Amino acid sequence: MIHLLPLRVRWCLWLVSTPSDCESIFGDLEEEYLERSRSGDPAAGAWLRRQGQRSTGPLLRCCYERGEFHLLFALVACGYLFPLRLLDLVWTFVLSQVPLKAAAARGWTELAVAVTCSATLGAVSGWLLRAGYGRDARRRAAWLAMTVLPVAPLLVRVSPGAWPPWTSVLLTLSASAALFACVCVGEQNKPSGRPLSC
Amino acid sequence: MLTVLKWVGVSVAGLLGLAVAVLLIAGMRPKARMLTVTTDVRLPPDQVWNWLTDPGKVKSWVGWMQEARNRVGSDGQLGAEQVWVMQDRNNSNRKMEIVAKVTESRRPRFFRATLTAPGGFTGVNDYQLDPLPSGGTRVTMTSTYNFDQWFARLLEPLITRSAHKKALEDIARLKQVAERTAATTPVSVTEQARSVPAK
Repeated sequence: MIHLLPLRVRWCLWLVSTPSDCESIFGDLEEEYLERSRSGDPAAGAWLRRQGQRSTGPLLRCCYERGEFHLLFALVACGYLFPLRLLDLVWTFVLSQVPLKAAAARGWTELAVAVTCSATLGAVSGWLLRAGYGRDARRRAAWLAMTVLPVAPLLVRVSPGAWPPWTSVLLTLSASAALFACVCVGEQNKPSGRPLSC
Repeated sequence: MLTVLKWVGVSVAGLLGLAVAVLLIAGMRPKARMLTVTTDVRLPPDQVWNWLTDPGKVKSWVGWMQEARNRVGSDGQLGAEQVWVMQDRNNSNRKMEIVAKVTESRRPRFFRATLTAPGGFTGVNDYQLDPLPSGGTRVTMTSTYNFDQWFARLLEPLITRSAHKKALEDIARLKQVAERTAATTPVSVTEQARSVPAK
């Protein structure tokens, strides 16, 4: 009956609850919905949708209280933003040392190295999530990808003129793709790591 | 999780070590710290010489140069000194002064200038001007640099690569600006008379 919930609500519920919580939340909702349907409540479907939407906020607060976001931001800052910024500072240093000076704008080689580093960092993060969280890795990867989304433009903005704006999209995509690839490959090899079909 | 983190740490340290080793090995290549660029300009060596030694003209083809002035002597004569002020957009637009001193001069074929930028680098620039049968000039610039900072010395392969790219851009600009100016400047009567072969 869970399919009665709009996809975005299902996705939000999956995103803000741990796998075990997700199972029980959907189980409870389904049970309650069936009871209401059997008793002839015509608004059972509307109740299910409303309950689903209302649960997202408190569950999000639970996520925050569990410290999930702190860890995410720490991981993104230390494992993604810091290494890429360091790499950018190295390029800046290299270019500032060029006798008779060189252009501030990064060339294709620098971009290729940055994208490779971004993808590698994404893959390492995916590997860490898989090893550390098992069946919860995919959900955490989704959060991580969403956190990287505003971080990559920030990275491009701190070196004005050095990177074209579309670079942030490329960096985000490469990191996110590598992250999900690593998490999903791990899940295929581990039967217990299958995500919930919420 | 700790084991994984330990392996991540080991991998990062290994990659950094590998990068340093590659840079050190690349820094020992035969033509390290050296770059050569060449272009053919459709102007006689005498005119190209002016483009290489006149501060106003140098400023028009060397990128990021804010100011160029003669300090001692002029026209690429032996012992002449020029000050080049560069604006470093990679370093909060800080200005950097480079002193170029001519240590060897054989007008209009060759001159050598030593470059000094305190706290940055020292270098030697050789400018070779070979006349071409077509009446043009082959300009060859060979530069060798030494860096003051240890980190810059470590990153020398990357710096030289970027410097080579910059030198290629500059010399292409020299060709473009010099040829365009020659094409638009009317030839004076005296020069016309000179160019007419004696009968």
